[in-house]
Order: sequence, then C-alpha cells, then structure tokens
Amino acid sequence: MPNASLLIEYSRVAFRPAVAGWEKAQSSSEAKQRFAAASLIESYGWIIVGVQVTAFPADLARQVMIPHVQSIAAANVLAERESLFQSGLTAQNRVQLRSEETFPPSFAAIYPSEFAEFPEAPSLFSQWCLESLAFAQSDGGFAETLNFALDQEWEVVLGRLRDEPFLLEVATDSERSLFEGYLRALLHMNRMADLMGVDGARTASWPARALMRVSVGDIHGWRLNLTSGLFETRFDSVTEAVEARLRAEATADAVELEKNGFIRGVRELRLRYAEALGYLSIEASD
Amino acid sequence: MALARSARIGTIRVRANVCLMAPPHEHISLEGGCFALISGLPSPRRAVFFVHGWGGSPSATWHRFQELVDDEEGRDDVRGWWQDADLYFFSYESRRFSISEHTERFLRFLDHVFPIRPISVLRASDPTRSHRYGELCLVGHSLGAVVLREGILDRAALAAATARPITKSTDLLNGQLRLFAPAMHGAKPSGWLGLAYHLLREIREIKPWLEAARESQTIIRQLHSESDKLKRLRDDTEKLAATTSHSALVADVLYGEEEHIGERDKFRLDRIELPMPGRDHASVCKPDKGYREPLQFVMRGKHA
Repeated sequence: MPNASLLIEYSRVAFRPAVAGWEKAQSSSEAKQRFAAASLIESYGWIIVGVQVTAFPADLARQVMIPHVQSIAAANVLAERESLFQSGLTAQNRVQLRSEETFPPSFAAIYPSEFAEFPEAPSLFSQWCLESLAFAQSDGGFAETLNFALDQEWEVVLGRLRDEPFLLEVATDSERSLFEGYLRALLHMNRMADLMGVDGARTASWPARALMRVSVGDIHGWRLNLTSGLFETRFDSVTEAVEARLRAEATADAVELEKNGFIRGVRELRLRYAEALGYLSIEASD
Repeated sequence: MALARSARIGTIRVRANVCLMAPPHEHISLEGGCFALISGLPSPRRAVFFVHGWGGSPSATWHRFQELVDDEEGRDDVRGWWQDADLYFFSYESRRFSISEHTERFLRFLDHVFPIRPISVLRASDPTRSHRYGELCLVGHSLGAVVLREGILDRAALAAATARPITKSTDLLNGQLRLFAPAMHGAKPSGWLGLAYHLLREIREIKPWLEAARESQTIIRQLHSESDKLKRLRDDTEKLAATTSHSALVADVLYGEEEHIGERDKFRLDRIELPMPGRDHASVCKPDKGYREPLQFVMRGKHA
C-alpha cells in the first residue's frame, strides 16, 4: 500500500527545501549551485523510485512534482554538464522530463516475476529513504564540503577540523561541525549497509534487490562519493585527522588507542557500504 | 433511565461500526517538524504522543506506524483502537539542548493539543472537529522515554505541591506510558572521544577500537554523568509512583532481544514485557505487516 504520509513528509522536509535551495543558489557561487542541483536531483530521484516501487502514491507524487518541473529540468542540465551523478542518471532524467509520462513504469511492471517475490520492496525503500533523509539533515555540511569546496576553502576547513573545539550544545544552524558531520557519515554508512540486508531482503531474488539498491546508489551515492578521487582523498584526510584527535584525547586520559586502528575500521566499513550500494559488482557482493 | 442506557448502547454500536469504516488518518504538519495524524472520526477518544530518541526523527523512528494504523489487514479491535485516536509525532533536536529543555518543549507541545484539541491544529474549514480527549497514551523510544518521564515527573511534582497553586495542566498524569527500548540515561558526551563513543560504538568495524577507550576518564565521566541523571529520575519517579495513583508514573516497557545500546531494565513498579525476538534497539518500535506487536503494545501495554 503506497504511503501518502511518508511522501508528504518527504516533500515537506526534503523535496520542497531542495527546490527552494536550487532557486536561491542561482545567485550564489558555482559550488553552491552544484550542491543545490545534486540535492534537488536526488530528491527527484527518491520520488521517482518511490513511485516505481509503489512506496509513494503516483497521483500525489505528480501533484508534488509538477509545479517544479522546470526547476528540476534546470538542475538536471547542470548536474549532467558537471557529471555530478554517475551511471547515466541525468540522461535518464532528461528523457523522462521530456516524456508525457511523469514516471517510468513500475519495477513490478518491468520485472513482474522478480518483484512478485519481493513484497517488502516498498517497506525497504521507505527505510532507505528515511535514513538518507536523516543523514542529509544532520551531516553538518559534510557532503557539500567534501564534494564541492574549492581547494583553498578545503585547506581552511581541514585545518579547522584539526583544532575544532568540542561544544556540547551547538548554538545555531550556521555553526556546522565537520567533525560531527563525519561521525554521522560513518553512522549513516553503517545503517545503510545494515538496512540493505534486513526484512527478508537476503532471501529475496537478487535481481529485484540489486535493482533497487543500485537505483538508490545512483541517486544517493553522490553524498558519500567514494568512487570520486576528490571526495575519497578528502575523506581519507578527515579520517586521519579524526583518529589523531580521538587518540590525543585518549592519551590525555592515559589510555593508548591503537595507531591506525580507527583508519582500518573505517576502511572496512567503507567496503561494506560500497558493496551495499552496488558500487562493486553485484555478483561479487551477493 | 432505560432509555438512556439504550441510547448509550446504541452510541457504542454506532461508534464500533464507524471504526470499521472510518476514513484514514489525515496528515497535518505542525510547527518545529512535528506532525499529526488526525483521526477520520469526528471525535476521537484518545490522543497518542510519540517521542523519538537520540538522533531519531518523528518519521524514521516510528516508521510504518503512520501507515499501519489504517491497515485494513490488521485485526479489527486493533484497527478500531487506532482509528479512534489522533496521533502526534513530536520532533526535537536531541543534539542541541539538554533533556530538561527537550522536556519543556514537549510539555508545551502537549499542552497545546491536549486535553482539548484546538481548532488551529486542524484545517480552518473544519471547526467542528475541536473537542476534548478522553484518554492519553504517551509513547517513547530510547532517549524519548527519558524526556517523557521527566515531563511526567515535572507535572507530578506540581500536583504533589499542594501548598502551591497549580498553573499548568496535570492531565497527562492519568495517561498510559509505553516505552520502547528506554535508554534511561541522558546523552551528554564529553569531548570528541565521548561523542564518537556514543555514536559509533554500534559499528562493528570500529567498535573494538573504541572499546579500548572505555578505560579513559572522558568516557567514565560521561557514563557517570548519565548514571547520576538516571538515578535522580529513577528515585523521584519510584517515590511518587509508590505514594500516588497517577497511572503515567508506571510504564509498560518493551525491549528487543538484540538490544545493543542500553541496559534492559525498568523502574520498580514498571511492567516489563518479554523481549521481542529478532529485534534490536532501533527495530523494536517499527511495526510491519509481519510484526504488529508495537501497535498492540501501545494499545494494551504488557500482555499485548
């Protein structure tokens, strides 16, 4: 049964703010525009996939999207030009946005036998969607900074992270913490990887599950884009800085934490996350 | 007298029939990220408040409650109970403020819509749906349980201070309290190490490395701080629960068998249900088509 309540919440918390963010970014820097475009295309993608797996009601989704089709199309042009997404997502969007049909056919219509054996698909999708939303709202600018900050800005941010004081209560929204954003990114990677294997997904036929998780990887993977050289390099730098800070705090308490132990754990977590989102070959991960 | 009884029975019958055919709940966005699912019935009997935990959200923590309360495949008695309820999903920024501040925010939210649901919560075009609730159910997950218990304690203390005028509603004291995986401690990380410990200790690749940090004074201070908070809350609640009849001071508690965040425990008079097999800290409060126990637990408490 499609979940209208979830779609309404998703629209309120993610889609409409993404549209507003895109419109606001038109008078901002190129980096801001790229981030706004990626955010909007991701939101659009969640709605499309949500309808395809029948997690979202199509009629309501159409009402949510139609007033903003021009903004979506414009964001898609920028995303395609800048190659913000991989695997041809923006090209598919371009075709879809020009089509008379608002949504592609449902997964069940394209792959009837696979999805007939996968009744939990809408429920799983909803959990992935909510987790991605929770991360986007709590990452403290982590995805934006690591993906889009200019080199000069990045050096400043990384330097600040090495000295960032711990504040128990963050006073305002503008006071973003990259340190906390990084910790929440790890938490998100863990949760997404775990969610890919719950509620019967392990026993479902893999083509349906693989199709869904690769679809989700296509629209959401840009936030923690571990296949991008720039993002990966910066992610590694943050990981090293965070381990150094954590070890220093422990050392001050006369506790010795194993050197590179945290870095090694993060590397293993990255692998599990990448497998879950289908970055590696599907055959290898199943 | 006979006529009155007959009419009353008739009303009950009508209500039961209406429950089976009631339209689904209506989603209403409220301030601060909170939202409500308003019953399709004109005068729902009860209000149910949901309070998420650390890092949770009103949508994600209670995932599928919103949908399954109207599920036609559910049992009639369960569906009837939920259709006779307005659902309020409270949102708060667990990272940014103290538990006392979360509690104050929650109590203001609750006082705004309970016991009398104001017209302003609903669509302006439908003023007939303003009315007084007859029942209250408070549902908390993890840190949300602490927020609820603090709120109940706050109002119980007001009610007990008989020499002082009572200026705030104490209606919530007659509510039912249902707690999923209550983490009866505050979240007050000490330093980056404390925050990392708090956030990352559930990640299996990092957990072994962090476990070594348990020996650090930073973590020990943090755990002590949490324990002090818990102790005060526990002592005061147990004392009042033993000397007053307020139903909200005694909770029904449910953990998952695979609870990995908090210690499975209860206050002295609480009723603890057997742990749910296959459920952990996060999943114990998320019903699905094959796991409807959370809906029944909220409805009936222990022995659901």
